[in-house]
Amino acid sequence: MSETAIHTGRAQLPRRSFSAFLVGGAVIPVGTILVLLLALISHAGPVEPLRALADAQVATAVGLSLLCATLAALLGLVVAIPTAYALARIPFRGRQFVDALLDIPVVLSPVAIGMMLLLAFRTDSGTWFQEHVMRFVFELPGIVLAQFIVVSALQIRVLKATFEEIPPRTELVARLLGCGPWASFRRVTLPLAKPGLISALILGWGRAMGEYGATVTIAGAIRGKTETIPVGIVLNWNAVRLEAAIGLILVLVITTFLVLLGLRLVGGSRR
Amino acid sequence: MIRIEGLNVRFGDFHLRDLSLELPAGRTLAVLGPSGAGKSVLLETVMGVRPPESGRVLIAGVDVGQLPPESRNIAYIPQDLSLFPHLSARENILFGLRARRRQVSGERLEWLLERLHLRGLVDRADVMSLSGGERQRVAVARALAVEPRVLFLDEPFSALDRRRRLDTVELMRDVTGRLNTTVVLVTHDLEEASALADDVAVLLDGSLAQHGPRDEVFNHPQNRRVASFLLMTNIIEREHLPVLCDGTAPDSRWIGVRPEETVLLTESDGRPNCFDAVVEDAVLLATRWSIRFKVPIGDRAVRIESSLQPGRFRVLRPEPGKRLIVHLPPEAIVGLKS
Repeated sequence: MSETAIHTGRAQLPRRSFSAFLVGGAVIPVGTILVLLLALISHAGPVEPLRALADAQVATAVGLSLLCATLAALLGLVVAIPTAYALARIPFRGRQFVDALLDIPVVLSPVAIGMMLLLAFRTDSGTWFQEHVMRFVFELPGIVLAQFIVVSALQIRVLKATFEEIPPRTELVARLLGCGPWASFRRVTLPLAKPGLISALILGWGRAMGEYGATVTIAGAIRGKTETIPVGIVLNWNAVRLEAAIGLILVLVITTFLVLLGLRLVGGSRR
Repeated sequence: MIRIEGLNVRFGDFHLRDLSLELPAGRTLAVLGPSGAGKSVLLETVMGVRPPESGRVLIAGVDVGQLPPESRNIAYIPQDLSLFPHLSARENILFGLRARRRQVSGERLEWLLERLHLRGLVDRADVMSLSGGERQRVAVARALAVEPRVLFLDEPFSALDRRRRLDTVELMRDVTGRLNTTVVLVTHDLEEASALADDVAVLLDGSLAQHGPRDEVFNHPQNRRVASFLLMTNIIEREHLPVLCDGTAPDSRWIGVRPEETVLLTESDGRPNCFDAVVEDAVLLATRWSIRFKVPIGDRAVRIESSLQPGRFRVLRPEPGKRLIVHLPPEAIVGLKS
């Protein structure tokens, strides 16, 4: 009897304190974000930012961001799928080297990526490319390119993990049942990777929507031309147009939240 | 149907050495061996996943060395079955026919569904919601629907409990027998192999240790290593135990006797090969007892394992220390190479 009591007492004490540790820890980050959102809304009120969104320049920034982020996320996916699959499946010499190389855009400061791009376009071949194929510096394609570099690296990470989870044996069974490598990839690998593909698309799109450093370095901050939402926030902030800045921040917060929520729902349905 | 000639495969430190064997159409071969013996490497080479260093694989007379997996007209059921979870049971079964753009032979399909008791399950949208045995049957139907020249099975029954496993093996034997399918089963399970196979190939450390008809291999293992792998646990040096053989065991230095072949008596009745033995221990292995004896011969002792049915165990009561007579029937003794 006394042994049970001692045992129960000992078990309950750490359990309670552990719960307090978990809840206490979680309150801080959740509370911080909620406080930031409340501060945002209480500063401008809900009406002014919405009115600011009707402003033509602000609407252009939103439209430009949506267009560039969608293009960057889709292009990123097109490149990330074969790259991630090769990294996950094909054992080649120097795989670790390529893998680490592709991680650079994930960890590097976006401003540094932007500068590296700018420097690349100042070389002879870069200048030739700009003059004869497509202009990137201070142009819309520059925004897409900057976002694409940041986003595709992230998508490769997500998709590599996805492809690694699909047993190669499943693809072998498909091959032996008569599928060539393309058919096996299309009929078995891609359907099985669907949750990862959706995650990569959403995550890439969300990351592109918030991208500032690389974008502003290569494409500049030209009102109505290369002004994405994050660039617009800074421009409006500098011009002391607080309502417009807050309206853009709200747009960014809401879209980012929906993106991340969607990502979790996709992840949830996968499990 | 399948002929392997002088196959050499290297994979890291592993070397599958100079393997040759032949399997006529319609027969089932069990490739037996412990983990790491090279069973999977052999399978992967024949399926076209791993290139051989030298040697040839012929399927229906065609050298398939340069053919990709999809052109070899073989089917494969792996251990985890690898059903396609995004497809229904029916789509899984029809997958190969659609991939090969082949007309669905309604008659064969109906026959398979009937034989494999799949009629009620075929419209199940989530194939992963099926039970282990049901999934097994879907995998079998998917593999056989394409009428493969050879069906490869890589321990596909290992996840099932014993009863269900033997039922499935029986069903498999019936279906492949009626369709006259050539089957290669890779396993380390002796029961599974003996229940399904006509021929057995024992693979040890990357080499083919023995190959032949099932009964021949099981009853007459060629050497000590094969005998030991096939659970012929009584492997005795002949000079330590003076036994009389009936002529099937040549003058080999080593002999082997299965524990199930030994006979226990309370007293010697004049038969040859009766030895005084002391019980060391007795262990119940689910349905039978395994008794270990010490047989004193001069200043040495030979250890012999015997297998007893529970009824016989109750009569003999072989408690540790008890003296009994162990009889090794001459016809059950096999001569073994070193």
